[in-house]
Amino acid sequence: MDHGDPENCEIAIQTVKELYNKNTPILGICLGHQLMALATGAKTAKLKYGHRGPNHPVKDMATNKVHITSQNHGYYVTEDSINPEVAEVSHINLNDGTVEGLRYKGKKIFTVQFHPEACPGPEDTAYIFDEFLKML
Amino acid sequence: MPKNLKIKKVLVIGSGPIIIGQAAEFDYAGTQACVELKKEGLEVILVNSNPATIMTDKHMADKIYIEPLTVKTVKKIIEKEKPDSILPNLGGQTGLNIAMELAEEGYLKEKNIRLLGTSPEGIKNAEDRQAFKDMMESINEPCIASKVVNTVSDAVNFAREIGLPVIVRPAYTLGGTGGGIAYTEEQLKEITSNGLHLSRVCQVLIEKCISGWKEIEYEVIRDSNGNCITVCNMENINPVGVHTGDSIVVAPSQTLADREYQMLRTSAIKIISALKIEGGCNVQFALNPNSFEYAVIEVNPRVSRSSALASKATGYPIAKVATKIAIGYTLDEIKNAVTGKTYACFEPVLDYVVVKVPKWPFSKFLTANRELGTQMKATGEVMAIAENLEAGLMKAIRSLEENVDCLYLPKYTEFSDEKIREELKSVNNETIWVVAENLRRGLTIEQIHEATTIDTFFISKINNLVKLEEELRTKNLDIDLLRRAKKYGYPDKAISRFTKVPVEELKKMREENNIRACFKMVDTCAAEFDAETPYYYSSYDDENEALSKENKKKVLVLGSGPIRIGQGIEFDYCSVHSVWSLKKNGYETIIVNNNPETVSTDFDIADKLYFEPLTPEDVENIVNTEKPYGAIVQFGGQTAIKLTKALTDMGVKILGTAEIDMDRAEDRELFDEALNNCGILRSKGSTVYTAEEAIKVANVLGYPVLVRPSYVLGGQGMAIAYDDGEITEFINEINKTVQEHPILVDKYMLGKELEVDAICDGEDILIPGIMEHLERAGVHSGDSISVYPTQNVSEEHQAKIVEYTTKIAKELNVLGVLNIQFIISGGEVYIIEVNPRSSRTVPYISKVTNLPVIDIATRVILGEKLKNIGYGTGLYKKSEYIAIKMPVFSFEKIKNADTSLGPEMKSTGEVLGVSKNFSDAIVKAFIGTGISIPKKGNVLITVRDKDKEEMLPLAKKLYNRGFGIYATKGTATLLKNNGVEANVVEKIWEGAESIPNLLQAGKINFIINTPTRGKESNRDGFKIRRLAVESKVPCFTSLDTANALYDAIEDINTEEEIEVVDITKV
Repeated sequence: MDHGDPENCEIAIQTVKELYNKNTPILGICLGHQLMALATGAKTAKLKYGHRGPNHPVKDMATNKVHITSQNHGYYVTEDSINPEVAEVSHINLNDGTVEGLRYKGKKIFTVQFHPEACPGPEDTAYIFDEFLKML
Repeated sequence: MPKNLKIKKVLVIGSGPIIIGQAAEFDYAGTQACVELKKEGLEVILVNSNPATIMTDKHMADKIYIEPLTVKTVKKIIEKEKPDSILPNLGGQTGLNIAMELAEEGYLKEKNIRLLGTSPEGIKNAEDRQAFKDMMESINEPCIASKVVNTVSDAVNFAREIGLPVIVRPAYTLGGTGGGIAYTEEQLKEITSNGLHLSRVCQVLIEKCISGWKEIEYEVIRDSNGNCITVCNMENINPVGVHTGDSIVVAPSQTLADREYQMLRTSAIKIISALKIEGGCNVQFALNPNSFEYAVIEVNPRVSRSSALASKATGYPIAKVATKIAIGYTLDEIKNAVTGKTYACFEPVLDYVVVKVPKWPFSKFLTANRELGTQMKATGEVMAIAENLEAGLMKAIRSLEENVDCLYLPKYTEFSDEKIREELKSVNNETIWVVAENLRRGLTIEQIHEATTIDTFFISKINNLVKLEEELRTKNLDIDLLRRAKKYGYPDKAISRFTKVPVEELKKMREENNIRACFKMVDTCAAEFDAETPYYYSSYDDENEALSKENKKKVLVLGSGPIRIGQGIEFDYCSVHSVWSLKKNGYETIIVNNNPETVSTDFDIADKLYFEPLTPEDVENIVNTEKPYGAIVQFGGQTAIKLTKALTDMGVKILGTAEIDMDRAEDRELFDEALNNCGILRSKGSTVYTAEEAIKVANVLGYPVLVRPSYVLGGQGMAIAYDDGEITEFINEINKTVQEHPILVDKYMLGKELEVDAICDGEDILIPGIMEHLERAGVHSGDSISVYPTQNVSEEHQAKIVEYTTKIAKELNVLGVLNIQFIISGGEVYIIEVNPRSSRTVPYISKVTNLPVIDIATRVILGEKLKNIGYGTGLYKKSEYIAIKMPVFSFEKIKNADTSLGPEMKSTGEVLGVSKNFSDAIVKAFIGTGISIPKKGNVLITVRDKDKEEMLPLAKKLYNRGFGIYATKGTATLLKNNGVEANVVEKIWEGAESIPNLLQAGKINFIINTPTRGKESNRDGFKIRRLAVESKVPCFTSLDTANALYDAIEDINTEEEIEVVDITKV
């Protein structure tokens, strides 16, 4: 198992699983996104170089709009490992098509691989926080 | 959203002649647009009055109209071609304005024509001052607070509201006289009261003063789906107050923290979303350096000079993407052309720094005011890419070709401490050298910041260069110091000057210690993805990314550097065509250039592009990496020609006319010998170095004489001298810069000037056509109206010209193109000069004769023979169309520049008028230059004594046509004696009938003023000419030009019937 592999975080995955089962509203970011996926049965895999930098285009599947995001991760959630009854893909990376966001069915949970808090980086996806607040 | 399939036939409006503020960048943008539209299978109709552009080339569009850019003409074209859409946002302000006028008067709706890209409402909201302000208010984006007031008390009240200092701008005064900055309420009252008094409408604008704030620009792109990206941001080294076109600009911004960067980025995106821009857009901000306060200065709802710079700085093809958006695509559907894999919907990353420095025309206009402000004065710009800002600045400085290669200007060393410190208060083209000199004198970075408000970061960068220079001067040059100097961009020549170590030794030291330039890629993504079409810049470290694998023969094509008066877009046209021809013939092409505005520095023109200064050392670095088979210098203007010797010394084969033969055309004695061998006449003359020698020569030849430096383009420093005093004046001016070559003094001959461009393969020649200048010899060919084919030259003289061209081309072993200026004087044909290189007339003569001159020349250079190429030899058949090239000037932009025409070129651009008859062609040409041809009205005539007789027939014709004639007393009396009633004007400043009053009241339609001699600016004639410029009244300083205007006046009544000509069918 490599350094940085989210599957290493066994305790955290366990915690996330408990929160998922307790119906706690959750917004997952980056590793949080990966942990939630792992906690619900999906898999992660390693990217060749990773996504790094403040210029990654991400498409919001709901609006079909592309946003520029900050990213810094080496692993991603593999799309075919996602159980469609558990979650649906809400965002994808425009460059390589990888999963950038998941919306969990029947739960007040959604997660994104990129950094909407953008410190540093573009503020395009600040709306993620508005959506989260609305969901509460 | 995919392509809109309803779009089938698109009209593209270009930007017209090169003027200050609107240069080659729109040829670059327009060319990309045309290429993209054609790739999409659309029919493209193009209109542009500028014949020197690549976009007006036959294969760029389906129909091409080189016609005046007026609403009237564009309507004629629309009626003829019936396009379904117009692409308005890639032709500069000119193109946009025409499209907007057509939209606003309902014409587009009536004809059912779509305006592609941003809607007319969006454009209006961005362009109209009040609409923009309202829009910004509605989305809570701050503008610069301002208010129009009519009383002092209103001014004071408003100033209390927004806070002092404020700028007071009186309405309707010439050149903003009477305005100023008020720091106290007392000052405000005084300036306002004065300004209200001076303003004709008793109105002043009070504006919050933000001088000293940072000026930051964002290049933003938005598509119809609302996707937005910023291509890059840029920061001006000069704070707010200097036009961004006149500022030194760096990309990306250097002094913003992420929070400020993102704050402005978010604002830019909010603004273009509110304006619903579809395409490229530029947003300029002012940012308070001490807080997070900012204001939106301006938005350009179109592709601009800044977007050309941003494209070249990042590799992101803004014009291409904007075109795709205009026809319906969204950003996530457009491929990133540099990587070939990723999409255009991303933001480029820069792992280097870019520096842009403007190129100003002040060496041309000695009387001009060099102060920089809100009116742009630069004709062009250079861009440098480097690993650090210091090196970027150094590269940019030497790219300017101003005989300066570092931050040391000897003239400032003579200034006292006090005087050099005083200089900091003035913002002009030499500010960075003044800052450097003050640092040398021991001023602190903080002190300089206080005096200039330039950010301390930038001053500290200049300080790094100054400190290094000091080390070079005082320390022993060791390897570490040499390495640091190279990393900071010091050329060997400068290091040698400071250390007194010879250049050859420096080179040896560098080679032994592996201190050499290697090349880095510009690939839009900082190497995150593989690049298919990257370009390169040099840096001093270890890894060379430019090592090539290709086995094809490589040819180096040297570009022409920044756009300047005398060397403009024409040479970019030639370089690009040569590259295309080389590619077709199976060569790998390498372009070296530093001009971000041009087509030649587009990433997909040559196989490889090096964005580098065009100096021997910089070119040698490229040669060492690429090891080219040969180099072509004859298409890149004087910039490339100057490198011929250095290239030959490096062992690079010069493809085309050899260095030794080029020299024979430039060197006075060798050239005389060549002419002698051919039995060709030329005016008598000699070469000199000093004023004393020149006076001696002039007295033998007899005045007037032509004085000029050799090896220059555009007649720089050239003048006609009438006496010893003027010789001294002119030679001293020439010798202000060190002359490597002697000065030429020739007998000045009066006569008709003619010009040919020709191609020679060593055996045969091909002459596309003979051009005739309307102005007599003495006006620089670039400033003359040029007519093709000749109208007033006998068959016999034409035959003589062909004969001479053949003889001298073969005598000089020309291989490729050459340009010859002839004069017919006293029935004899003389050669004035031979330039064994491409000229400014090549693009236009290629277009009107349908001969691909550069392609043929390139093939000849590569070894083909003219007789096998298929266009024949000798003088090519005459076109049935007449093409008139007319110069365009930018005098209104350069305060105090003398507008009188002479042997030194002053025009910035040109237009073409094409028609089957002369008078229609001349009407088109005049309209194209922006001169409105009056049907009736008044003319002011003030000519020097020796022109008075010659002026009479023209004055009579004008008078008989019903024009009112105004003249000064002497001229008026002469006119009266010859049956022309003239109104006497006061000489010149007093009274209701004084010249200034007449001009400002709009009573004069045009002026005929032939200048007296000399270059001084205190004469009446000079004042009249400047006044004419400022009142926007055309002023003709040659009787020949005025006569040409008269031809147009006779024809103007039938303007409606003048047909537009599709140049692809000529």
